[in-house]
Amino acid sequence: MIPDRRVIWLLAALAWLLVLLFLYLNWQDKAGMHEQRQNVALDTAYRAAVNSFDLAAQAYFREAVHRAEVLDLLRAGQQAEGEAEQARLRGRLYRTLWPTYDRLRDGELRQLHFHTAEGTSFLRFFSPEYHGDDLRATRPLIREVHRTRKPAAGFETGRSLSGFRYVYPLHDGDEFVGSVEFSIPFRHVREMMNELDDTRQFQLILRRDAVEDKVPPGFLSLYETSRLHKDYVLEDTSLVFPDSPRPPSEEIRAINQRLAADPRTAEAIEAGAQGALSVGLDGETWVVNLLPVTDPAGERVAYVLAYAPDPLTGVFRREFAAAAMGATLLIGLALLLLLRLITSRERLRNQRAYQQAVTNTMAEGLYAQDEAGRITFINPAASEILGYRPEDLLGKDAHTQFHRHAGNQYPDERDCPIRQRVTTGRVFEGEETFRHQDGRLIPVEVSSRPLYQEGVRTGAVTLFRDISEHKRARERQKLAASVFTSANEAIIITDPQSRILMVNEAFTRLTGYTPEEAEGHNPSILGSGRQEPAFYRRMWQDLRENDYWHGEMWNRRKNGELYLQLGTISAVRDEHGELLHYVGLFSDITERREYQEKLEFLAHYDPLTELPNRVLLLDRLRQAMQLATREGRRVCVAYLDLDDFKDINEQWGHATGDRMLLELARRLEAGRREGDTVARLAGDEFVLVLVNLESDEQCRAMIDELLQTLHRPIPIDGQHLSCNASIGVTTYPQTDALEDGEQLLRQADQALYQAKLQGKNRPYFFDAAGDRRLRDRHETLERLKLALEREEFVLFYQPKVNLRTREVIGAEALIRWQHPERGLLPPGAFLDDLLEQPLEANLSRWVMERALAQVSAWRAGGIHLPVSVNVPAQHLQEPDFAEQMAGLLARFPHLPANSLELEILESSALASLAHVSRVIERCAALGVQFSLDDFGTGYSSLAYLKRIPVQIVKIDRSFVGDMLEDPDDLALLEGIIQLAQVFQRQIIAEGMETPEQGERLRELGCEVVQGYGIARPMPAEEIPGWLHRWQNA
Amino acid sequence: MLNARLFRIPLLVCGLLPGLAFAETLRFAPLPMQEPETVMRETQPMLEYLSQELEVDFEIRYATDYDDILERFRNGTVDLAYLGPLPYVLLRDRCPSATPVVAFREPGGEARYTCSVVMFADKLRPLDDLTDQPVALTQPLSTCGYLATARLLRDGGTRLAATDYRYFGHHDDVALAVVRGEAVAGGVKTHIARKYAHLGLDTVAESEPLPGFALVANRQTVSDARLQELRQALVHLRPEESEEDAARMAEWGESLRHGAQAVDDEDYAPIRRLRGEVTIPELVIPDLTVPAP
Repeated sequence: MIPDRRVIWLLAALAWLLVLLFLYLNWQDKAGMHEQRQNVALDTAYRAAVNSFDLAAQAYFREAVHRAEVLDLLRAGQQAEGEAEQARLRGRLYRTLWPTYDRLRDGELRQLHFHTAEGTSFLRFFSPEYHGDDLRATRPLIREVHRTRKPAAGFETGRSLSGFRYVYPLHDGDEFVGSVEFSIPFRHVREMMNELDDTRQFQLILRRDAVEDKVPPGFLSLYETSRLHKDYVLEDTSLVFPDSPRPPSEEIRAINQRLAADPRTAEAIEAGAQGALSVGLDGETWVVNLLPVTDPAGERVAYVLAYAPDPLTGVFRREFAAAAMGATLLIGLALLLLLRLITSRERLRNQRAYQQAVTNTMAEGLYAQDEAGRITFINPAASEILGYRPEDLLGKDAHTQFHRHAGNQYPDERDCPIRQRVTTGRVFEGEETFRHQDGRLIPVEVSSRPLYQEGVRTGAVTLFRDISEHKRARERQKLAASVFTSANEAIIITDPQSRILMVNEAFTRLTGYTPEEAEGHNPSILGSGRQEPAFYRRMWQDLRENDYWHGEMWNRRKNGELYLQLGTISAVRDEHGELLHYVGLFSDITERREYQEKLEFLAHYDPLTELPNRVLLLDRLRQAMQLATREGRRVCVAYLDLDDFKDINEQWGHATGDRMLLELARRLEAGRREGDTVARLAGDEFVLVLVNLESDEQCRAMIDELLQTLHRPIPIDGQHLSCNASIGVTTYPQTDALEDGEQLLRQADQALYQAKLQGKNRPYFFDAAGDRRLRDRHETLERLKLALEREEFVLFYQPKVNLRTREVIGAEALIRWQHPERGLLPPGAFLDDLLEQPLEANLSRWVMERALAQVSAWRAGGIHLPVSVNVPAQHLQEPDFAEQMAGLLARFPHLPANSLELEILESSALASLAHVSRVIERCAALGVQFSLDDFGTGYSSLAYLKRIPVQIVKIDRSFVGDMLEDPDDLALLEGIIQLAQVFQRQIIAEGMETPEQGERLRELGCEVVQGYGIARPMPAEEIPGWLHRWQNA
Repeated sequence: MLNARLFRIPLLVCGLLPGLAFAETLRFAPLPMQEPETVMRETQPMLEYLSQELEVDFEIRYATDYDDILERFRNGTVDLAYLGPLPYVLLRDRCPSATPVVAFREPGGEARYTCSVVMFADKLRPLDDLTDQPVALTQPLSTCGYLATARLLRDGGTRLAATDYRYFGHHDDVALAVVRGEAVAGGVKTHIARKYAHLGLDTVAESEPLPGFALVANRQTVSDARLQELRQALVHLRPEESEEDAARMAEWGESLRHGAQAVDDEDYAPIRRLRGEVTIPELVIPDLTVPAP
């Protein structure tokens, strides 16, 4: 197991760090010890100096101060009565100790100060003008001595200079009489320290706030801010006071400048602990030791700084650097060696892994055998091909396990052809069959070789690969080749430069070129010259953009014959999209195209005359109409039919008839102008479309000329045959809009029909106005038919009464049309359109049925009122009219006879008098009476009246209306009434509008009337009300 | 030649804001007879006050004797000086540009003071019994030195020249020398004598009032306007009348804190009279026509 290179680097780095850490700690340890020694030296020097002054102070105290005389003066001075006495005693004390003080000043003790037992200042030798101030409040040291009554010493900042104070209690016996204080300025401490240790320079820095608390404002300017820390100051660097310590030398100032730039300096000073700072100056290392100085209250008020060159620190650093460098080199060397070792082992391992990967990556199966045939190694491909896990095969005999030989034989191991070869030191190569773990047989290609190690054969190595897919591919290739060869379509395969690589047999059949003649050439050898260059550009564009082209192309065979081919060309690319080939498949569609063209011809042309047929005619006609509309010209359509052509066919045979038709077609075609069309629609029917006409007269002239052309005899087989033609003509544009050419053709056909009706052999021009009327009537009939279906007709009833008896003898049903848009229409608005139309009879039947239904309804309401209806001639003359009536009455069996009366016109009856007479008789048998309506307006012949067996005669309203004013009408009316009475017919006068008319009619013998004078026609539902009013009038 | 030593103390007052410097600096010479420490302590507050009021900086030029002050006045390297009456008169005689600005009041409120002859309380003796006795004097140029002491001893019946007089320098030194017994009598300013009264120093003779110590301006370097400003700034302080002024001047030196009074040269006529009566043997007047070495 080779450790990871990163781990090695990590361990080396760790070791290097540990060694460096050890060296560093060792360095720091030595440096710390060195610093500690220096700190101890500083502390020792400081304490020794301070203590030496303490000893001096003690000596002065014992020898000069602690004397009875002094104690007496101090006690007496405190106890004196009166200021003068006290002043005198104080003065004496001053005078007594002045020599001592003067000597003391020659030494280093600068200040001598007596304090009273109460802690006030008694006498300051150094400033005798001041006294009496309370010192306990401002001087912790004095407060401490007076509290403990024991000597004490300490550093204090003073009003002008700072220094060490030594305070001794003064006892006179057991009596505490006060205290005395000696002071030395720091200058002397420093000088003493220099005497003790002349290798260093000393400096004092004072805490600014401690100074500012005590120094008078005027003195603050004497203090200079320390460069080492803004909160610390140096005393009187201008040496205003004689006892001021010497200011820092330039060297020390330079060191301080360096230290000030180092943040550790401020940190060390603020930490308040003893320490050391190192700094380089002019290539030399200096150490600055810091000794904190506290006041008697324990508060740090100053630092004593010791400056000294420090060669040892540099030595330690160099030692550390050298050791670190050596350690780094050693570790680096070890690391290098280790890495080389690892690299070497990795290379070996990678080599093995590479070899393993090669065998693992091989697509071929590989296994090795020992001399006994047992498998000693097998690669993953072999396992996968055979379907075994490696561990299932290792140690097994390959022949036994999966060898199958030709024909799925499993020969004895000794007969294994592979083994036979390799055990004799030879190579086996060939196709064999192996057995898959699931029993499947796998065709394999095997190469087996003996394995030699150091010259000794130790087994064999066999390489095999599954060739199943290869075999299938070979089969597919064969099949493809067969398809290529036997395909009916011509196939061309070219290279990307369009050089023909292969063609099949169908190609040779199609083009006449053998493969040898075609291969190596460009397919342009087939070019016909009929295709435009643009055609080929589009073809190549399709191929470039879509890798595919499909279409038709005219080519030329080797023998020069043109042919049309339908085909596709496909670009064949490899998996990277690189163009490999073009493959073209083509088939000859020349015949198919010709057949198609023939079919297309037959679709638009008459096969006999090769004139346009109806389809093409309509298309040309449509175009001609558009052109005429656009250019303001006229088009003439002439529908031509040969008169009695059937006779020619029957007499001379169809062949002769066809020859006539061909000749006529030729003549028509010969007379055709540019743009005109001559078409044959069927049999002997031709249509001419004459375009670009200026007027209908021009059209007429051309038609006349046409008739003459057709009439000329046609020589056939020695006979001169001739025929006439009828021509229906119509023109375009017309007043009314036309739907299309078909309608124009229909107009010509209608005109042709009229020409035939008028005697043939003539033209007839289409009557557009008549046609429009016909269309209108047709539309009206259609509307009426719809109205009947929708039940839009209604019946109004006009009563008929006997003027003498006031009896209502019946009512006439009168039809109205409740038009949804035009309102209620009277019969005159629509009945004329129904004349002689089948719908007229239908409407008549509807009226009868509805009238009977109404009679039935009234009857159910207690009203018996017969109804008369008008029967049109068309209906009346239907042969089964009587049966219809029988059937109708049968649907109302409960109605009594004479419930229905039919009114007919004289003209209706006379049109088919016999039939009508039979109908009247048969209806009379059914209980249906007939009346003759509008009598007096027709023939009104006595003979007819006698022959028409009607029961009732209705005198036309025209006689009644004018009878009072017109004597002729009155005379006629009298004659009619008398005639009816002669023939014993009942009489009803229509149109009675005034009572005078009624009265006159009664005088004439006509008692039964109807008209506005009695009642206007009314809806059925109003009849009961009218009856009630009539009968009660 | 006197052993002159000049201390230059460039500080002083920059108004209320540290680091703020004014455009003009006045060079001030304090009394040469006091300890530098005392000079600093006593004059500094007054100079701070003037600095704020006049918006000028002050620079202390400390001299150890009067000759040096006179010399510097003459050559224009000192603008202001705090001088006793005799030094002023001598200065004025030789340097007419010296002009008194104010005279400082004594504790009693008068801008005058007296000189006294002091003795230790244990060793009092008559004034006429001082012949050949050690007598302590300050300096030859001190008003209360030879000049006033000679007059007082003469009034007491002894000639000063007949005593064993010695110069001790400062007034304090004279006073303490008497306390210590180094002299049986001494001549000092009366208020100095009183300062050491608590040490048993008694005043045995006192002179007539003399014009007070003065702030003297060098008209060569100080303009009239500035002179007036100085005078006004000091005169309008009334510590006896105003508690605010008293508080302001509490830190001023003993000889300065009682206020000031405007003076002019005429006020120093008594000094000139004394000079007429007493000859000071040690007083050597430098020849100001010869350039200083």
